[in-house]
Amino acid sequence: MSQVGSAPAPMVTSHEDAKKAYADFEKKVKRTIYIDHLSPQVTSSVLKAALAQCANVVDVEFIVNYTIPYDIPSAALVELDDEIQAKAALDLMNDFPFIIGGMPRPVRATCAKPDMFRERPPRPDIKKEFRWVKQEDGTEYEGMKKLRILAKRQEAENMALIKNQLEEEKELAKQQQELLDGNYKKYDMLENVVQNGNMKSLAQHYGVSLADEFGQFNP
Amino acid sequence: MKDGRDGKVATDAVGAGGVDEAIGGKCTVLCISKDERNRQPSPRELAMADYIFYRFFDVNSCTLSEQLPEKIAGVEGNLLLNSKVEQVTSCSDQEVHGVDQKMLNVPVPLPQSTVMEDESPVAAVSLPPSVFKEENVASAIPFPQPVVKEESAAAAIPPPHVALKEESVSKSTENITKPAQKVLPGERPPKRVKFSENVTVQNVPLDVPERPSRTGPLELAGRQADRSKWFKIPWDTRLRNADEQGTLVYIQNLDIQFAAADIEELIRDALQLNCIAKPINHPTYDDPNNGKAYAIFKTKSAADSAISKINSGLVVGGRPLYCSKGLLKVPKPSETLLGHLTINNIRMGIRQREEQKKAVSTSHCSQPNTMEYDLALDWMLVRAKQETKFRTLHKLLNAATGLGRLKIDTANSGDRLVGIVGIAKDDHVFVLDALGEPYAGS
Repeated sequence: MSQVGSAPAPMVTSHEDAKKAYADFEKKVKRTIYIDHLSPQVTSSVLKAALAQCANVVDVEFIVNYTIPYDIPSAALVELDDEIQAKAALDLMNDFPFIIGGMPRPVRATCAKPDMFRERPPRPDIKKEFRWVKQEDGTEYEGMKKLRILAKRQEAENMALIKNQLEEEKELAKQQQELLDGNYKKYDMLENVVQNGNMKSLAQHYGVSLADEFGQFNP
Repeated sequence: MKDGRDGKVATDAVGAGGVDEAIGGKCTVLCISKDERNRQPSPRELAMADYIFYRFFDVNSCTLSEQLPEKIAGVEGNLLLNSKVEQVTSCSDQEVHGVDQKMLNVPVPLPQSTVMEDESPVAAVSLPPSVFKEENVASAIPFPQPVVKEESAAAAIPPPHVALKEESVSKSTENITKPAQKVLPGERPPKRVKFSENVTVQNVPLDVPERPSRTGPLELAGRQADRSKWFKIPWDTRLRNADEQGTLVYIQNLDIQFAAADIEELIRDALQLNCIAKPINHPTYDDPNNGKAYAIFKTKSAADSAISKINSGLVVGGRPLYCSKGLLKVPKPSETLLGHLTINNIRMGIRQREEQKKAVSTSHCSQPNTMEYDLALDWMLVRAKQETKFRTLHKLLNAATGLGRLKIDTANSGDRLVGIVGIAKDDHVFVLDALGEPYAGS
């Protein structure tokens, strides 16, 4: 095993600077919104145009999926000019189904949170205590092992839930597609009947005046 | 380490005779060899130069020579000499100074390693000879990896292997430092101790095949951030390269609030290993109780040792961390989003199809008098249900872990552990068994 003899890191930033950097970051978080359930085809310019009516997009960061072993929708952190715009954008997207780049599945928007950002300054005063638990520690070691199993199990549960949700979404999409196709077929048939003159001949055959029922179709 | 077999010769600085960006920002390298092929530098150039060299190291015979050979690793020796035209470059920002300061102390048989890289059996990132032909080595390298940067940097930076050749090093170091100091103003006090310490420690034979991934002897703690900015390498590419080289570690069960710097510091303090880390939680899907991060270590062995150590029982803030090697397999996202429906119309004209395509870039609020609105509401309903499910699950998980932490903290008192005992926020006492299920006895 190679040990890297690391020289002590020079204190580039003082504590105050770190605090300030974090305060700046928090401001950025406040003017940023998180949008997910996005189509993979949506680009930052599309988002910019979509939000143009209520906010000015400063920056868009798409979140790359590195951890979820499923095909999940795209998501992005969208930085706006200020907090007021962020609120306006959230209201707009939550009051109505807001649709970007495809129908009918709407996008979802929430406030951004610090832990959504991959690049962020460390929070000052965060505790980073660590210790080693060894086999000799007896019960504590057992406890540690159990906790780890617990964490792994929780992770599996989380993944199972995601899988379940994605299946649910798939099912809904399928249902809706069928509904849409059915609807389309219906209107298509109606149109055909009118256009090819079948309706007229039927009306004549039964002695019905089309003018009463379908005024718009009668020349 | 064996010597080169095919008579390769290394110079003091490859990619010399010009401006070499490989080391870190711009710096000027001059050859002061008296060789007739070499244009003698002007005093002004000498004063500006960040690095100078005049000798060449033959990897095959392990000798230093002042004669410039015809070819070095298949590259015309002339290329290493000063360019025919005087180059006036001003490039003395603080950064560069910081680097050469260290370099000047041991600037001799460096490219030895570069040459050897060619021969190492793995040679994962060994530089194609063509690279040497480029003057700006760094900018010419296609793959954006710190690795490569190091590789090219190795051309001018004393590599760790220096330590192996202690004799020649110490001799040559003396030799070269003198002229160097003559030329350069005395404002750069040598910092040799730290540097050589790094060199020796890193010089582990095991590491040789993984050499490409190490960040080199100049890598001091706290410099990493700077380095990554010199070469704007997308994190994604780094991850993939590190995955290939086996230096990537996936750490789980961190505090989700830890930023990149926190994780790096933690690894440094706990494992005495340097790494580049980034948290990677997916805001929608990942469990906020289980913080995740990818860490790139310098060598494969460092990564392996980090994994075994962390898994042996590193507890951070009551959370036992666990980790695994490599990048998780994630399916490539599909082209379209599930739930974005289209009407399949055969009779639809080309123009209409085009319009449909363009519609991707449009957006609107769904109005209540459309069919789309009804369908969209279905989605919102499903979504609301899902959010509730997630929240419930994560709350449960959080409670369970929270309790676990409490028990870990009190486990020192010696009481017998039946499971994980804790007090929830509403003062209920819980006992959970190892799998997080409520324990029957509670």
